[in-house]
Amino acid sequence: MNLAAKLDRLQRHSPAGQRRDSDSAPMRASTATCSVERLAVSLGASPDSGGFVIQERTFALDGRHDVLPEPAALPRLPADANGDWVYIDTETTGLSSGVGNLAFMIGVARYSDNKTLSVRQYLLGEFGGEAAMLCDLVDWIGDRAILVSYNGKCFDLPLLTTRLRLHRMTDRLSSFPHLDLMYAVRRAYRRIWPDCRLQTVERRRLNVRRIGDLPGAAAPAAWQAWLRSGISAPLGGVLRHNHQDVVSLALLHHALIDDYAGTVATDADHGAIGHAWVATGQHQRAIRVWERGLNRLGCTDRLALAAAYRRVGRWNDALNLWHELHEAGVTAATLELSKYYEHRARNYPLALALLATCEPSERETRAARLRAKLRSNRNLSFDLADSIRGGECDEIAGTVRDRQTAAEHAIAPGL
Amino acid sequence: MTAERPVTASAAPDPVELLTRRLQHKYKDRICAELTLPARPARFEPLPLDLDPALIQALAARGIERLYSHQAEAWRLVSQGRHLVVVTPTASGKTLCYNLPVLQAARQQSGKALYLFPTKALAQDQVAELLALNQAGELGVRAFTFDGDTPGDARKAVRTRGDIVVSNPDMLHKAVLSHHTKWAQFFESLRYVVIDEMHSYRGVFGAHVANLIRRLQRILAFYGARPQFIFCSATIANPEALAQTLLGESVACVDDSGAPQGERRLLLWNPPVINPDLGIRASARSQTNRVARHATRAGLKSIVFARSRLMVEVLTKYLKDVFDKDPRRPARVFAYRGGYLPTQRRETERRLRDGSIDCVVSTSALELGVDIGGLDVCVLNGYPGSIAATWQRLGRAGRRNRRSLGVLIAGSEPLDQYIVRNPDFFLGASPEHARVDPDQLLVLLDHVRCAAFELPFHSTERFGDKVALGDLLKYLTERGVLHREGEHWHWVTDAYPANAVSLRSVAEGNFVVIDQENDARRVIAEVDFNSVPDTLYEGAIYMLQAVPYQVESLDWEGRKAYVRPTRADYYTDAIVYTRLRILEKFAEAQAARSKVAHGEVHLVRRFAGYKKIRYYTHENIGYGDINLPDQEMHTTAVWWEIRPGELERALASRQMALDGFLGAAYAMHHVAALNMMSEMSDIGRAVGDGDGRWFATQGANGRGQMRDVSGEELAPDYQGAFRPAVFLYDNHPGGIGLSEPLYRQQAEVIAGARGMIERCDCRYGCPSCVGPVLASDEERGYSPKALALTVLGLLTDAVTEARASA
Repeated sequence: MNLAAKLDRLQRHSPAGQRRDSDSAPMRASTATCSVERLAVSLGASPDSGGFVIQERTFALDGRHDVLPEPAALPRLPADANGDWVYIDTETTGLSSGVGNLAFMIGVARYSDNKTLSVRQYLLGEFGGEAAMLCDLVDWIGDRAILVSYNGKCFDLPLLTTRLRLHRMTDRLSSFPHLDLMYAVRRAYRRIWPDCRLQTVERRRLNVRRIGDLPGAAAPAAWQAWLRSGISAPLGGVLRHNHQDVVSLALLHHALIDDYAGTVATDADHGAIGHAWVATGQHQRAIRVWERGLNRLGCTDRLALAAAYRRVGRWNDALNLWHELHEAGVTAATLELSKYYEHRARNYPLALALLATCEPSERETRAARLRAKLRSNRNLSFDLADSIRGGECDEIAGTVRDRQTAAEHAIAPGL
Repeated sequence: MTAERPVTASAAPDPVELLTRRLQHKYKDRICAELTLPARPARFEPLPLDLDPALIQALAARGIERLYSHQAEAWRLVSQGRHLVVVTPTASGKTLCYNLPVLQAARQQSGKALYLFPTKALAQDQVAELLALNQAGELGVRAFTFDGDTPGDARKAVRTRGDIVVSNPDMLHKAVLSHHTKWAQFFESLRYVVIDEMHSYRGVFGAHVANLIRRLQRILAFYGARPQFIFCSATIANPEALAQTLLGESVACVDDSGAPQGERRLLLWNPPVINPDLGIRASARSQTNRVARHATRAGLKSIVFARSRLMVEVLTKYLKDVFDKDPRRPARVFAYRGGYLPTQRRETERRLRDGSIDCVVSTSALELGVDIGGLDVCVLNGYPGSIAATWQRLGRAGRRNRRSLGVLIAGSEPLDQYIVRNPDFFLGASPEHARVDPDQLLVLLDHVRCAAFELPFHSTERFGDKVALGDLLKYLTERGVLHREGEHWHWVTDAYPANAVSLRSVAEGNFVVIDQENDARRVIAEVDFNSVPDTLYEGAIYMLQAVPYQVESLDWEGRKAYVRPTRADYYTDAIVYTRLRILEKFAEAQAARSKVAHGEVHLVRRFAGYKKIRYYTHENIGYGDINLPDQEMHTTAVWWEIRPGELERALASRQMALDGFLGAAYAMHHVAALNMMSEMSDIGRAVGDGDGRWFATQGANGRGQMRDVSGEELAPDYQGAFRPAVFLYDNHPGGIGLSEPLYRQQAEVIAGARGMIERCDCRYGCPSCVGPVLASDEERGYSPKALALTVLGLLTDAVTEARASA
């Protein structure tokens, strides 16, 4: 009996079978030869004997980018990361994870000098060429690289790791430092842009306009068309698309460095960027970015800025911010002020008075401690402690701004 | 796993013994047979000499200083490098058979192990037990569950740090094999694969699991690993053969349990006849209720097994009406079945273990190895459909080495009646064969698809040995799924095939039941896809812990049913019409008066409506409509036909022929299930013509009715050609290989059906032979019993022919 006919009939009535393969009618491979040579010729690239095609081009970065990026210019890379920048982007047979997906196209780029990118693209002509292609790629990347990708940590690199393991090759790629720009973009623009796809980034930040671009989702079909029917034209479109992806990575890298340095005016979310720097312990950088976007900072970001001031010893700037927030009714700032007057200015009555407007959870133990300190200090002749008695808290809290100057004078600066 | 001392006879009268005597005295005429399985002492062997000292210590801390003989035997066979299947009763310390070698390998060679359990709950029990042993001996072995509940950030730790990973087939299928490179380290040092509850891997699920194991072995070969497989199973007739079919390699068998067992009594109980004319007996339900009440009043813990979820709810309600009248006191009676939320089920299991439940009413859901502690009495409401399932359920009582009582209460179904009337058949029979056909085409194709995604196929590879792999690969290539390049076939589409394949059934997606009382939206239960048309149609009464809810609307696409508590005094039962069309004949045997064939059929089930049935009186108080899409299936079947001339010569009217065919089909269906050693639900039956133009069903008056494709009633005498056939079909999409052996055994089916009807005590037909007969013979002027025998007589001569040609 004809197995194919039987399977067709069986599948027709199975609910699961109806969904699968329903769009692909029986097809026959074209008789056209799918040779790698022909593919190379039709795309104007050079064939490799291993079953894949290589295309090499250079790309001149515009005049503003004439210094190579520093690894420390963006958060999240290890402090000691060093090596050559390698931008990488793949085109795959499917978008799901899983071992059955492979990268049929891999674009990589590195700097040949400060202003010039050298772009290399691999295109697989047949499944059998994959091992040789990966081998060549790993050689080209070399021993000391810092990889730069867009969503490569979750997608491109695990996929390449999987393919290397399938070919029983040593996986050097996953040992390199890896800068995934998507995280930096998301941090800086999540609250600003509707989405953070690379195309959105290009349009809104890099001023790149793609013309006649083949959408990424059409890439798998283009490769299938080549495998089945020897049609190579759509693959030319994928090559251009991938080339632009890799170049955009380099442009984006520079742009993000500007955003994160706070040196240019952009619509980036300075609040979020500052937090990123604080998280890596770089308070000066955070302060610079926050100051740049000060008028757009919300209350939480301002508190964080004040904390950063305190952290680096800029007490006056911190006090100014806290007072401003305290007057706007931000109790967290009031608490910070109270802490300041307790521990730094040692103005216990003022600290206690400020506590009255703080959150109850914070109030009780602190207030008790302050009262104890006040009692033991009563013997010390501390002007303000004598001049202010309990029960006048409201007045004190209201006049705290005037007292502040007095307090500052009472305590030697730099204590 | 604790080593128990054999029971010593105590002087005080045993409460189980007292209850048994009371039942025997009071219901002498209802008890058809008794069986006593004597207590069996334990057989021990010393701990193996090569056992790791730390393990010896761990065992000692758990009170184990020697092994049962079967555990020692398992250790020896595993040491010899054999694959193994262990078949011993519940609570005989089966798990130690695999835990010992696994823990030893983990400690001494960093060998890893993969445990597969059919359900998540069983997997979690297992990890708890491993952890206890691990802690007792400070073994330092890391065991983790890996299932749908494992959070994403913990998965990496499980893969890289777990010595023992406890999972289920679905997870292996969807999340492990398609990402096997992430598991490379684990697979490279994999020493053991443990597959517990093997008996549940039969039928379609079994076919899927067999193919899953083929896929696992391909991946293991890629990583150069050759682990030993250890299977564990409840009692079935062919554990060795099933394990070998699942694994595709030879497997050694350990089936002689050395664990002790308390004395077990079994009573076969037939409800009394209440209408001798119609052959109607009191319901099994009423008798089950009675025995469970006796047990609970005697202070014994009991479990009642019912055959359907509906019956679980009805029985629970009746028992709660007696024992849980006072809402201020903690409930004593609980229901347990599939469809309850996992948290509710865990809670009931916990209460069972700590002994705070006096009676639990369950479906087969509690038949699996969920730990529920020791119970005294097991009542089976009706024959569970297979001998293996019967013993498995009876084994739920008497686990802790105490005396126990089992009562099997026969329903009116022919199988039940056959068993209580021929007790020797049941008491002497071996349990059933678990059938699995790993080369069922649809299943095979699904897994070849997944396997190709996992690793490209090479032309020298095999995948099972019945169907040529090359043909399947060629088929998938023509469909654009694979691409051939030289000697390799590569996955080429952008799909993720494992997501489109469900191991459990063809149709997918559980329905949730949502209570919208007081405008709240509370999920109260889940129902699997296949049960939905029977239970969640609009208007249906859906029972949950004996509380009735009425289905207000069913969202088929969204997989939701909206219900509201109701005070209705009835429950509902769906009316289902089945229609078949013959697609292809594989083989046929013709005789002078009749013919029989087997082949492929297309089957449509239509849900025509439902009956409302009042509690306690069980009278039919009305009908409702069901508005659901038809369910289609493609499967294999055996069918019998009578040549038209012969039929008209033998029977005076088409109406008589319809009744005769329906009665014959009823008996044949039951005998087939018995002969094939399968469950009733694995085989379906239908009467109709082979072109699917009409089918027959029994109407409310007990008469056969002829209905057309849309379900409209037809007048039999005004139709053209009239060629009724009896169909017995394989009740699984694509078939699981039941119809071919059935075709070969048709002589036995026909002869058995004749015997069953001839020997029945009734006069004109009854539920125990030809099916329920509602109208009296006088009124109708003929006997359905005689008609069925006439039809079977006509079919008999085809039988001998078919046998010759088979």
